[in-house]
Amino acid sequence: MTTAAAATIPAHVPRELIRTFPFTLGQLTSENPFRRMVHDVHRVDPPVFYVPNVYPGGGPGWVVRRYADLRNIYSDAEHYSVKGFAPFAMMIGESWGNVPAEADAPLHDQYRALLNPLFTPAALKKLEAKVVSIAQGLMEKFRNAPRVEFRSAVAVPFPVSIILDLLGLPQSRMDEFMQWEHALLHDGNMENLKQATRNVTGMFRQLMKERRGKAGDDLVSFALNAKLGDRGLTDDEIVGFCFNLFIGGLDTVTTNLCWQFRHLAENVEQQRALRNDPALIPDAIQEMLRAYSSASTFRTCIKETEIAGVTIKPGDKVLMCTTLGSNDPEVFDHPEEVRFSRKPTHLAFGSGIHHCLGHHLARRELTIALQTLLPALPEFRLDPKAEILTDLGGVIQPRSVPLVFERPH
Amino acid sequence: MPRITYQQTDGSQASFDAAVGDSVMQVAVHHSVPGIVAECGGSSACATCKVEVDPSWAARLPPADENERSLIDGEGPNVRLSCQLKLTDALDGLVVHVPGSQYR
Repeated sequence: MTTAAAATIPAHVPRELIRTFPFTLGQLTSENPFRRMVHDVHRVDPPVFYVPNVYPGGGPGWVVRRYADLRNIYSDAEHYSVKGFAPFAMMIGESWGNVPAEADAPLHDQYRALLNPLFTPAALKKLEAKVVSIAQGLMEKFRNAPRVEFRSAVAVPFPVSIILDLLGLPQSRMDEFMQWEHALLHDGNMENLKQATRNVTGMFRQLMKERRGKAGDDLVSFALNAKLGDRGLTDDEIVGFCFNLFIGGLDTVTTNLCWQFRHLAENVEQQRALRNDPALIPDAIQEMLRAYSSASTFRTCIKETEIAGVTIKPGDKVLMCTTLGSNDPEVFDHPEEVRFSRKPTHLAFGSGIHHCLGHHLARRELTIALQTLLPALPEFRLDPKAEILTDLGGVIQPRSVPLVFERPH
Repeated sequence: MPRITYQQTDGSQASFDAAVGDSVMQVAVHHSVPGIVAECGGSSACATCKVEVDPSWAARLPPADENERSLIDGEGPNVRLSCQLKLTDALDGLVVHVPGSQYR
Protein backbone atom coordinates (compact mmCIF):
# COMPACT_ATOMS: atom_id res chain seq x y z
CA MET A 1 0.00 0.00 0.00
CA THR A 2 1.42 3.38 -0.99
CA THR A 3 1.53 6.43 1.23
CA ALA A 4 -0.94 8.15 -1.08
CA ALA A 5 -3.42 5.30 -0.67
CA ALA A 6 -2.96 5.27 3.10
CA ALA A 7 -3.63 9.00 3.20
CA THR A 8 -7.06 8.57 1.56
CA ILE A 9 -8.34 6.02 4.08
CA PRO A 10 -10.74 7.65 6.55
CA ALA A 11 -10.26 7.30 10.31
CA HIS A 12 -13.44 5.28 10.86
CA VAL A 13 -12.11 2.35 8.80
CA PRO A 14 -10.74 -0.36 11.13
CA ARG A 15 -7.23 -1.11 9.90
CA GLU A 16 -7.77 -4.87 10.10
CA LEU A 17 -10.54 -4.56 7.45
CA ILE A 18 -8.18 -3.14 4.80
CA ARG A 19 -7.61 -5.84 2.20
CA THR A 20 -6.31 -6.37 -1.30
CA PHE A 21 -8.89 -7.42 -3.85
CA PRO A 22 -8.43 -8.81 -7.35
CA PHE A 23 -11.56 -7.41 -9.02
CA THR A 24 -10.51 -3.84 -9.74
CA LEU A 25 -10.11 -1.90 -12.98
CA GLY A 26 -6.79 -2.62 -14.66
CA GLN A 27 -6.15 -6.05 -13.11
CA LEU A 28 -5.86 -9.11 -15.33
CA THR A 29 -5.57 -12.84 -14.93
CA SER A 30 -4.78 -15.75 -17.23
CA GLU A 31 -6.78 -18.06 -14.95
CA ASN A 32 -10.51 -18.47 -15.19
CA PRO A 33 -11.37 -16.29 -12.16
CA PHE A 34 -14.57 -18.24 -11.49
CA ARG A 35 -12.64 -21.45 -10.78
CA ARG A 36 -10.96 -20.22 -7.61
CA MET A 37 -10.43 -16.46 -7.27
CA VAL A 38 -14.11 -15.56 -6.73
CA HIS A 39 -14.68 -18.32 -4.20
CA ASP A 40 -11.44 -17.58 -2.31
CA VAL A 41 -12.81 -14.15 -1.36
CA HIS A 42 -15.68 -15.83 0.51
CA ARG A 43 -13.20 -18.19 2.17
CA VAL A 44 -10.69 -15.61 3.43
CA ASP A 45 -12.32 -12.17 3.67
CA PRO A 46 -14.80 -10.84 6.28
CA PRO A 47 -18.38 -9.92 5.17
CA VAL A 48 -17.42 -6.28 4.61
CA PHE A 49 -13.89 -5.08 3.91
CA TYR A 50 -12.10 -1.99 2.64
CA VAL A 51 -10.04 -1.81 -0.54
CA PRO A 52 -7.88 1.29 -1.18
CA ASN A 53 -8.13 1.23 -4.99
CA VAL A 54 -11.51 -0.37 -5.67
CA TYR A 55 -13.26 2.69 -7.09
CA PRO A 56 -12.55 3.49 -10.79
CA GLY A 57 -9.93 6.21 -10.84
CA GLY A 58 -8.14 4.65 -7.86
CA GLY A 59 -10.26 5.74 -4.90
CA PRO A 60 -11.08 3.57 -1.87
CA GLY A 61 -14.30 1.84 -0.94
CA TRP A 62 -16.05 -0.99 0.83
CA VAL A 63 -16.61 -4.38 -0.73
CA VAL A 64 -19.74 -6.27 0.38
CA ARG A 65 -19.63 -9.97 -0.44
CA ARG A 66 -22.75 -11.54 1.08
CA TYR A 67 -26.00 -11.93 -0.85
CA ALA A 68 -28.20 -10.90 2.10
CA ASP A 69 -26.19 -7.74 2.85
CA LEU A 70 -26.24 -6.72 -0.82
CA ARG A 71 -30.02 -7.26 -1.00
CA ASN A 72 -30.44 -4.94 1.99
CA ILE A 73 -28.30 -2.19 0.46
CA TYR A 74 -30.08 -2.44 -2.89
CA SER A 75 -33.38 -1.71 -1.13
CA ASP A 76 -32.07 1.00 1.23
CA ALA A 77 -32.68 4.42 -0.34
CA GLU A 78 -32.46 6.10 3.05
CA HIS A 79 -28.74 5.38 3.48
CA TYR A 80 -27.45 4.92 -0.08
CA SER A 81 -27.60 6.86 -3.35
CA VAL A 82 -26.70 5.95 -6.93
CA LYS A 83 -25.82 9.50 -7.95
CA GLY A 84 -22.50 9.86 -9.74
CA PHE A 85 -21.41 6.22 -9.82
CA ALA A 86 -20.64 6.31 -13.56
CA PRO A 87 -19.31 9.87 -14.00
CA PHE A 88 -18.75 9.96 -17.77
CA ALA A 89 -20.40 13.40 -18.08
CA MET A 90 -18.23 14.90 -15.38
CA MET A 91 -15.09 13.74 -17.20
CA ILE A 92 -15.98 15.83 -20.25
CA GLY A 93 -17.22 18.83 -18.30
CA GLU A 94 -20.92 18.11 -18.75
CA SER A 95 -23.58 17.58 -16.11
CA TRP A 96 -26.09 14.97 -17.29
CA GLY A 97 -26.48 11.75 -15.35
CA ASN A 98 -27.24 8.27 -16.65
CA VAL A 99 -31.02 7.86 -16.85
CA PRO A 100 -32.32 5.99 -14.90
CA ALA A 101 -29.20 4.33 -13.37
CA GLU A 102 -27.92 7.46 -11.61
CA ALA A 103 -31.28 8.84 -10.48
CA ASP A 104 -32.68 8.42 -6.98
CA ALA A 105 -36.37 8.22 -6.09
CA PRO A 106 -38.79 9.93 -6.68
CA LEU A 107 -37.53 11.05 -10.10
CA HIS A 108 -36.12 7.56 -10.71
CA ASP A 109 -39.56 6.00 -10.33
CA GLN A 110 -41.04 8.40 -12.87
CA TYR A 111 -38.34 7.44 -15.36
CA ARG A 112 -38.98 3.73 -14.86
CA ALA A 113 -42.75 4.11 -15.24
CA LEU A 114 -42.00 5.79 -18.58
CA LEU A 115 -39.37 3.31 -19.79
CA ASN A 116 -40.57 -0.06 -18.42
CA PRO A 117 -43.13 -0.64 -21.22
CA LEU A 118 -40.32 -0.58 -23.83
CA PHE A 119 -38.62 -3.59 -22.28
CA THR A 120 -41.42 -5.93 -21.20
CA PRO A 121 -41.49 -9.46 -22.68
CA ALA A 122 -44.60 -8.42 -24.63
CA ALA A 123 -42.88 -5.37 -26.17
CA LEU A 124 -39.79 -7.40 -27.07
CA LYS A 125 -41.80 -9.94 -29.08
CA LYS A 126 -41.72 -7.61 -32.06
CA LEU A 127 -37.91 -7.69 -32.03
CA GLU A 128 -37.73 -11.45 -31.94
CA ALA A 129 -37.42 -12.20 -35.67
CA LYS A 130 -34.79 -9.51 -36.14
CA VAL A 131 -32.68 -10.76 -33.22
CA VAL A 132 -32.79 -14.30 -34.61
CA SER A 133 -31.73 -13.09 -38.04
CA ILE A 134 -28.84 -11.09 -36.57
CA ALA A 135 -27.60 -14.23 -34.76
CA GLN A 136 -27.89 -16.28 -37.96
CA GLY A 137 -26.07 -13.64 -40.00
CA LEU A 138 -23.13 -13.54 -37.58
CA MET A 139 -22.91 -17.30 -37.54
CA GLU A 140 -22.78 -17.63 -41.33
CA LYS A 141 -19.34 -16.05 -41.36
CA PHE A 142 -17.71 -18.95 -39.50
CA ARG A 143 -20.17 -21.74 -40.09
CA ASN A 144 -17.70 -23.92 -41.99
CA ALA A 145 -14.53 -22.75 -40.32
CA PRO A 146 -12.46 -25.06 -38.11
CA ARG A 147 -12.22 -22.45 -35.36
CA VAL A 148 -13.62 -19.08 -34.32
CA GLU A 149 -12.71 -16.33 -31.88
CA PHE A 150 -16.21 -16.13 -30.43
CA ARG A 151 -15.89 -12.77 -28.62
CA SER A 152 -15.09 -10.76 -31.75
CA ALA A 153 -17.24 -12.90 -34.07
CA VAL A 154 -20.45 -12.94 -32.01
CA ALA A 155 -20.29 -11.69 -28.41
CA VAL A 156 -19.38 -8.10 -29.31
CA PRO A 157 -21.32 -7.53 -32.56
CA PHE A 158 -24.55 -9.29 -31.50
CA PRO A 159 -25.74 -6.77 -28.87
CA VAL A 160 -24.30 -3.87 -30.89
CA SER A 161 -26.48 -4.85 -33.86
CA ILE A 162 -29.54 -4.96 -31.65
CA ILE A 163 -28.86 -1.57 -30.07
CA LEU A 164 -28.27 -0.05 -33.54
CA ASP A 165 -31.69 -1.37 -34.48
CA LEU A 166 -33.37 -0.02 -31.34
CA LEU A 167 -31.79 3.39 -31.99
CA GLY A 168 -32.92 3.34 -35.62
CA LEU A 169 -29.35 3.39 -36.95
CA PRO A 170 -28.03 1.45 -39.94
CA GLN A 171 -25.94 -1.70 -39.37
CA SER A 172 -23.20 -0.03 -41.42
CA ARG A 173 -22.30 1.95 -38.26
CA MET A 174 -21.30 -1.29 -36.49
CA ASP A 175 -17.50 -0.80 -36.65
CA GLU A 176 -17.74 2.79 -35.43
CA PHE A 177 -19.96 1.72 -32.51
CA MET A 178 -17.67 -1.13 -31.56
CA GLN A 179 -14.66 1.21 -31.54
CA TRP A 180 -16.47 3.70 -29.31
CA GLU A 181 -17.66 0.91 -27.01
CA HIS A 182 -14.10 -0.38 -26.70
CA ALA A 183 -12.71 3.08 -25.89
CA LEU A 184 -15.49 3.78 -23.41
CA LEU A 185 -15.33 0.52 -21.49
CA HIS A 186 -12.11 -1.38 -22.26
CA ASP A 187 -9.41 1.19 -22.82
CA GLY A 188 -7.29 2.20 -19.86
CA ASN A 189 -6.39 5.48 -21.56
CA MET A 190 -8.36 8.37 -20.04
CA GLU A 191 -8.02 10.59 -23.12
CA ASN A 192 -9.46 7.85 -25.36
CA LEU A 193 -12.32 7.39 -22.90
CA LYS A 194 -13.09 11.11 -22.87
CA GLN A 195 -12.98 11.32 -26.66
CA ALA A 196 -15.29 8.32 -26.98
CA THR A 197 -17.68 9.94 -24.49
CA ARG A 198 -17.71 13.09 -26.64
CA ASN A 199 -18.22 11.02 -29.79
CA VAL A 200 -21.10 9.01 -28.35
CA THR A 201 -22.90 11.99 -26.82
CA GLY A 202 -22.24 13.99 -30.00
CA MET A 203 -23.88 11.23 -32.02
CA PHE A 204 -26.92 11.20 -29.76
CA ARG A 205 -27.29 14.99 -29.93
CA GLN A 206 -27.12 14.79 -33.73
CA LEU A 207 -29.87 12.15 -33.78
CA MET A 208 -32.00 14.27 -31.45
CA LYS A 209 -31.62 17.27 -33.81
CA GLU A 210 -32.57 15.18 -36.87
CA ARG A 211 -35.60 13.51 -35.29
CA ARG A 212 -37.10 16.32 -33.20
CA GLY A 213 -40.71 17.06 -34.12
CA LYS A 214 -41.12 13.83 -36.08
CA ALA A 215 -42.80 10.55 -35.22
CA GLY A 216 -40.51 7.52 -35.13
CA ASP A 217 -40.47 4.06 -33.60
CA ASP A 218 -36.83 4.21 -32.47
CA LEU A 219 -35.79 4.86 -28.87
CA VAL A 220 -34.47 8.38 -29.54
CA SER A 221 -37.79 9.43 -31.08
CA PHE A 222 -39.58 7.81 -28.14
CA ALA A 223 -37.53 9.90 -25.71
CA LEU A 224 -38.04 13.12 -27.75
CA ASN A 225 -41.83 12.64 -27.71
CA ALA A 226 -42.19 11.24 -24.18
CA LYS A 227 -44.03 12.97 -21.37
CA LEU A 228 -42.87 12.84 -17.76
CA GLY A 229 -45.98 14.04 -15.96
CA ASP A 230 -46.78 17.30 -17.76
CA ARG A 231 -43.34 17.98 -19.22
CA GLY A 232 -41.15 16.47 -21.90
CA LEU A 233 -37.69 15.07 -21.11
CA THR A 234 -34.87 17.63 -21.11
CA ASP A 235 -32.06 17.24 -23.66
CA ASP A 236 -29.73 16.18 -20.85
CA GLU A 237 -32.20 13.50 -19.77
CA ILE A 238 -32.44 12.17 -23.33
CA VAL A 239 -28.65 12.07 -23.66
CA GLY A 240 -28.48 10.37 -20.25
CA PHE A 241 -31.02 7.74 -21.30
CA CYS A 242 -29.27 6.98 -24.60
CA PHE A 243 -25.90 6.80 -22.88
CA ASN A 244 -27.31 4.49 -20.20
CA LEU A 245 -28.53 2.16 -22.97
CA PHE A 246 -25.10 2.27 -24.57
CA ILE A 247 -23.15 1.39 -21.42
CA GLY A 248 -25.81 -0.88 -19.95
CA GLY A 249 -26.83 -2.91 -22.96
CA LEU A 250 -23.65 -3.73 -24.81
CA ASP A 251 -20.73 -4.88 -22.71
CA THR A 252 -22.91 -6.69 -20.20
CA VAL A 253 -24.48 -8.90 -22.86
CA THR A 254 -21.08 -9.46 -24.50
CA THR A 255 -19.68 -10.56 -21.15
CA ASN A 256 -22.42 -13.07 -20.47
CA LEU A 257 -22.23 -14.50 -23.99
CA CYS A 258 -18.46 -14.93 -23.53
CA TRP A 259 -18.82 -16.73 -20.19
CA GLN A 260 -21.67 -18.95 -21.36
CA PHE A 261 -19.94 -20.14 -24.50
CA ARG A 262 -16.65 -20.50 -22.65
CA HIS A 263 -18.45 -22.57 -20.01
CA LEU A 264 -20.04 -24.86 -22.57
CA ALA A 265 -16.69 -25.21 -24.38
CA GLU A 266 -15.01 -26.22 -21.10
CA ASN A 267 -17.90 -28.48 -20.01
CA VAL A 268 -18.76 -30.52 -23.06
CA GLU A 269 -21.20 -32.84 -21.26
CA GLN A 270 -23.35 -29.82 -20.38
CA GLN A 271 -23.05 -28.57 -23.98
CA ARG A 272 -24.33 -31.97 -25.11
CA ALA A 273 -27.18 -31.85 -22.59
CA LEU A 274 -28.40 -28.57 -24.11
CA ARG A 275 -28.09 -29.89 -27.65
CA ASN A 276 -30.08 -32.99 -26.70
CA ASP A 277 -32.79 -31.04 -24.89
CA PRO A 278 -33.04 -27.35 -25.88
CA ALA A 279 -35.90 -26.93 -23.38
CA LEU A 280 -33.14 -26.82 -20.73
CA ILE A 281 -31.71 -23.62 -22.19
CA PRO A 282 -33.67 -21.04 -20.11
CA ASP A 283 -32.75 -22.72 -16.81
CA ALA A 284 -29.14 -23.13 -18.00
CA ILE A 285 -28.97 -19.42 -18.77
CA GLN A 286 -30.41 -18.54 -15.36
CA GLU A 287 -27.77 -20.65 -13.60
CA MET A 288 -24.92 -19.33 -15.78
CA LEU A 289 -26.08 -15.76 -15.11
CA ARG A 290 -25.70 -16.58 -11.45
CA ALA A 291 -22.36 -18.34 -11.58
CA TYR A 292 -20.80 -15.81 -13.95
CA SER A 293 -22.34 -12.59 -12.56
CA SER A 294 -19.84 -10.05 -13.88
CA ALA A 295 -21.28 -6.55 -13.70
CA SER A 296 -21.13 -4.56 -10.49
CA THR A 297 -22.13 -0.99 -9.65
CA PHE A 298 -21.44 1.32 -6.73
CA ARG A 299 -23.51 3.07 -4.12
CA THR A 300 -22.50 6.13 -2.11
CA CYS A 301 -23.48 6.25 1.56
CA ILE A 302 -25.59 9.34 2.29
CA LYS A 303 -26.44 8.71 5.95
CA GLU A 304 -24.37 6.90 8.56
CA THR A 305 -25.30 3.25 8.87
CA GLU A 306 -23.74 -0.17 9.44
CA ILE A 307 -23.42 -3.42 7.52
CA ALA A 308 -22.63 -6.58 9.50
CA GLY A 309 -21.46 -4.44 12.40
CA VAL A 310 -19.16 -2.24 10.29
CA THR A 311 -19.79 1.53 10.38
CA ILE A 312 -20.34 3.12 6.96
CA LYS A 313 -20.20 6.92 6.83
CA PRO A 314 -21.58 9.44 4.33
CA GLY A 315 -19.31 9.72 1.31
CA ASP A 316 -18.09 6.12 1.58
CA LYS A 317 -18.30 4.20 -1.72
CA VAL A 318 -19.67 0.66 -1.59
CA LEU A 319 -19.00 -1.89 -4.34
CA MET A 320 -22.18 -3.86 -5.03
CA CYS A 321 -20.23 -6.97 -5.98
CA THR A 322 -22.79 -9.13 -7.79
CA THR A 323 -20.01 -11.60 -8.64
CA LEU A 324 -19.53 -12.39 -4.98
CA GLY A 325 -23.20 -12.11 -3.96
CA SER A 326 -24.31 -14.57 -6.65
CA ASN A 327 -21.62 -16.99 -5.47
CA ASP A 328 -22.28 -16.69 -1.72
CA PRO A 329 -21.81 -20.14 -0.13
CA GLU A 330 -24.20 -19.12 2.68
CA VAL A 331 -26.99 -19.05 0.08
CA PHE A 332 -25.92 -21.37 -2.76
CA ASP A 333 -24.80 -24.93 -2.11
CA HIS A 334 -21.38 -25.37 -3.79
CA PRO A 335 -21.65 -22.09 -5.70
CA GLU A 336 -18.63 -23.00 -7.86
CA GLU A 337 -20.72 -25.77 -9.46
CA VAL A 338 -22.87 -24.82 -12.42
CA ARG A 339 -26.03 -26.91 -12.03
CA PHE A 340 -28.65 -26.35 -14.71
CA SER A 341 -31.38 -27.63 -12.39
CA ARG A 342 -30.56 -25.12 -9.62
CA LYS A 343 -33.04 -22.39 -10.75
CA PRO A 344 -31.42 -19.75 -8.54
CA THR A 345 -32.54 -16.27 -7.65
CA HIS A 346 -29.28 -14.40 -8.23
CA LEU A 347 -27.88 -10.86 -8.34
CA ALA A 348 -26.64 -10.76 -11.95
CA PHE A 349 -29.10 -7.98 -12.73
CA GLY A 350 -28.96 -6.41 -9.28
CA SER A 351 -31.96 -6.02 -7.00
CA GLY A 352 -34.23 -3.29 -5.68
CA ILE A 353 -35.63 -0.41 -7.73
CA HIS A 354 -32.58 -0.22 -10.04
CA HIS A 355 -32.85 -3.90 -11.07
CA CYS A 356 -31.71 -3.93 -14.67
CA LEU A 357 -34.31 -2.29 -16.92
CA GLY A 358 -33.10 -4.33 -19.89
CA HIS A 359 -32.96 -7.75 -18.26
CA HIS A 360 -35.78 -9.27 -20.33
CA LEU A 361 -34.01 -8.10 -23.50
CA ALA A 362 -30.71 -9.49 -22.24
CA ARG A 363 -32.37 -12.82 -21.54
CA ARG A 364 -33.91 -12.96 -25.03
CA GLU A 365 -30.53 -12.21 -26.58
CA LEU A 366 -28.80 -14.92 -24.55
CA THR A 367 -31.57 -17.44 -25.22
CA ILE A 368 -31.66 -16.75 -28.95
CA ALA A 369 -27.86 -16.99 -29.15
CA LEU A 370 -27.90 -20.50 -27.66
CA GLN A 371 -31.04 -21.64 -29.49
CA THR A 372 -29.65 -20.49 -32.85
CA LEU A 373 -25.98 -21.42 -32.55
CA LEU A 374 -26.07 -24.77 -30.78
CA PRO A 375 -28.08 -26.70 -33.36
CA ALA A 376 -26.22 -25.12 -36.28
CA LEU A 377 -22.63 -25.57 -35.10
CA PRO A 378 -20.68 -28.73 -34.36
CA GLU A 379 -19.51 -29.51 -30.87
CA PHE A 380 -16.91 -26.99 -29.75
CA ARG A 381 -14.15 -26.85 -27.16
CA LEU A 382 -11.73 -24.16 -26.06
CA ASP A 383 -8.54 -24.04 -28.09
CA PRO A 384 -6.18 -25.95 -25.78
CA LYS A 385 -3.19 -23.89 -26.99
CA ALA A 386 -4.74 -20.50 -26.24
CA GLU A 387 -3.96 -18.38 -23.21
CA ILE A 388 -7.07 -16.40 -22.34
CA LEU A 389 -6.59 -13.14 -20.50
CA THR A 390 -9.53 -11.92 -18.43
CA ASP A 391 -10.06 -8.32 -17.35
CA LEU A 392 -11.04 -8.32 -13.70
CA GLY A 393 -12.38 -4.81 -13.31
CA GLY A 394 -15.19 -2.82 -14.70
CA VAL A 395 -17.02 -5.80 -16.09
CA ILE A 396 -15.21 -9.14 -15.59
CA GLN A 397 -14.68 -10.25 -19.17
CA PRO A 398 -12.34 -12.56 -21.10
CA ARG A 399 -10.47 -10.80 -23.90
CA SER A 400 -11.04 -13.74 -26.25
CA VAL A 401 -13.00 -16.99 -26.39
CA PRO A 402 -11.15 -19.14 -28.94
CA LEU A 403 -13.31 -22.10 -29.94
CA VAL A 404 -12.32 -25.10 -32.04
CA PHE A 405 -14.96 -27.23 -33.74
CA GLU A 406 -15.13 -31.01 -33.90
CA ARG A 407 -15.65 -31.52 -37.58
CA PRO A 408 -15.61 -34.87 -39.39
CA HIS A 409 -12.50 -35.29 -41.55
CA MET B 1 -55.45 -15.42 8.61
CA PRO B 2 -56.00 -15.16 4.85
CA ARG B 3 -55.42 -18.38 2.95
CA ILE B 4 -53.92 -18.25 -0.54
CA THR B 5 -53.68 -20.95 -3.21
CA TYR B 6 -51.06 -21.10 -5.97
CA GLN B 7 -51.95 -23.15 -9.05
CA GLN B 8 -49.24 -24.34 -11.43
CA THR B 9 -49.51 -24.96 -15.18
CA ASP B 10 -49.15 -28.69 -14.60
CA GLY B 11 -52.34 -28.71 -12.51
CA SER B 12 -50.64 -29.04 -9.12
CA GLN B 13 -51.44 -26.55 -6.39
CA ALA B 14 -50.41 -25.53 -2.91
CA SER B 15 -52.21 -23.49 -0.25
CA PHE B 16 -50.80 -21.51 2.66
CA ASP B 17 -52.04 -19.40 5.57
CA ALA B 18 -50.53 -15.93 5.50
CA ALA B 19 -50.40 -12.88 7.75
CA VAL B 20 -52.35 -9.75 6.87
CA GLY B 21 -49.93 -7.43 5.06
CA ASP B 22 -47.81 -10.18 3.52
CA SER B 23 -47.60 -9.91 -0.24
CA VAL B 24 -48.59 -12.81 -2.48
CA MET B 25 -44.93 -12.83 -3.58
CA GLN B 26 -43.52 -12.98 -0.05
CA VAL B 27 -45.72 -15.95 0.86
CA ALA B 28 -44.64 -17.75 -2.32
CA VAL B 29 -40.93 -17.11 -1.77
CA HIS B 30 -41.18 -18.09 1.90
CA HIS B 31 -42.73 -21.42 0.94
CA SER B 32 -40.50 -21.97 -2.14
CA VAL B 33 -43.46 -22.01 -4.53
CA PRO B 34 -41.90 -22.69 -7.93
CA GLY B 35 -42.20 -20.13 -10.74
CA ILE B 36 -42.19 -16.91 -8.70
CA VAL B 37 -38.67 -15.54 -8.99
CA ALA B 38 -38.98 -12.03 -7.49
CA GLU B 39 -35.49 -11.08 -8.54
CA CYS B 40 -35.72 -7.45 -7.44
CA GLY B 41 -36.90 -8.46 -3.97
CA GLY B 42 -40.37 -6.91 -4.25
CA SER B 43 -39.40 -3.45 -5.53
CA SER B 44 -41.77 -3.43 -8.52
CA ALA B 45 -38.85 -3.37 -10.96
CA CYS B 46 -38.24 -6.78 -12.53
CA ALA B 47 -41.65 -8.28 -13.44
CA THR B 48 -40.50 -11.79 -12.48
CA CYS B 49 -43.19 -12.36 -9.86
CA LYS B 50 -46.17 -12.22 -12.24
CA VAL B 51 -49.32 -14.21 -11.47
CA GLU B 52 -52.62 -14.48 -13.23
CA VAL B 53 -55.39 -13.77 -10.78
CA ASP B 54 -58.43 -16.00 -10.96
CA PRO B 55 -61.15 -13.88 -12.68
CA SER B 56 -63.50 -14.28 -9.72
CA TRP B 57 -60.94 -12.40 -7.61
CA ALA B 58 -59.53 -9.86 -10.07
CA ALA B 59 -62.14 -7.15 -9.41
CA ARG B 60 -61.70 -7.44 -5.63
CA LEU B 61 -58.01 -6.47 -5.72
CA PRO B 62 -56.84 -2.88 -5.38
CA PRO B 63 -55.99 -1.55 -8.86
CA ALA B 64 -52.39 -1.49 -10.12
CA ASP B 65 -50.48 1.78 -9.68
CA GLU B 66 -48.66 3.54 -12.54
CA ASN B 67 -45.40 1.68 -11.99
CA GLU B 68 -47.02 -1.76 -11.87
CA ARG B 69 -49.09 -0.94 -14.95
CA SER B 70 -45.86 -0.03 -16.81
CA LEU B 71 -44.46 -3.48 -16.07
CA ILE B 72 -47.53 -5.57 -16.92
CA ASP B 73 -48.11 -3.57 -20.10
CA GLY B 74 -49.00 -6.00 -22.87
CA GLU B 75 -49.74 -8.91 -20.54
CA GLY B 76 -53.15 -10.63 -20.37
CA PRO B 77 -56.12 -9.02 -18.56
CA ASN B 78 -55.74 -10.53 -15.08
CA VAL B 79 -51.95 -10.50 -14.78
CA ARG B 80 -50.57 -8.73 -11.70
CA LEU B 81 -47.21 -8.38 -9.97
CA SER B 82 -47.56 -10.58 -6.90
CA CYS B 83 -45.20 -8.32 -4.90
CA GLN B 84 -47.84 -5.58 -5.15
CA LEU B 85 -50.74 -7.71 -3.90
CA LYS B 86 -50.95 -7.32 -0.12
CA LEU B 87 -53.13 -9.87 1.61
CA THR B 88 -56.05 -8.83 3.79
CA ASP B 89 -58.79 -10.84 5.51
CA ALA B 90 -61.11 -9.87 2.63
CA LEU B 91 -58.79 -11.84 0.31
CA ASP B 92 -59.05 -15.08 2.29
CA GLY B 93 -59.33 -17.89 -0.27
CA LEU B 94 -57.51 -15.99 -3.07
CA VAL B 95 -56.43 -18.19 -5.98
CA VAL B 96 -53.58 -17.21 -8.32
CA HIS B 97 -52.11 -19.01 -11.34
CA VAL B 98 -48.33 -19.14 -11.65
CA PRO B 99 -47.14 -18.78 -15.29
CA GLY B 100 -44.92 -21.38 -16.94
CA SER B 101 -42.18 -18.76 -17.35
CA GLN B 102 -41.59 -15.24 -16.04
CA TYR B 103 -39.59 -14.31 -19.14
CA ARG B 104 -41.97 -14.78 -22.08
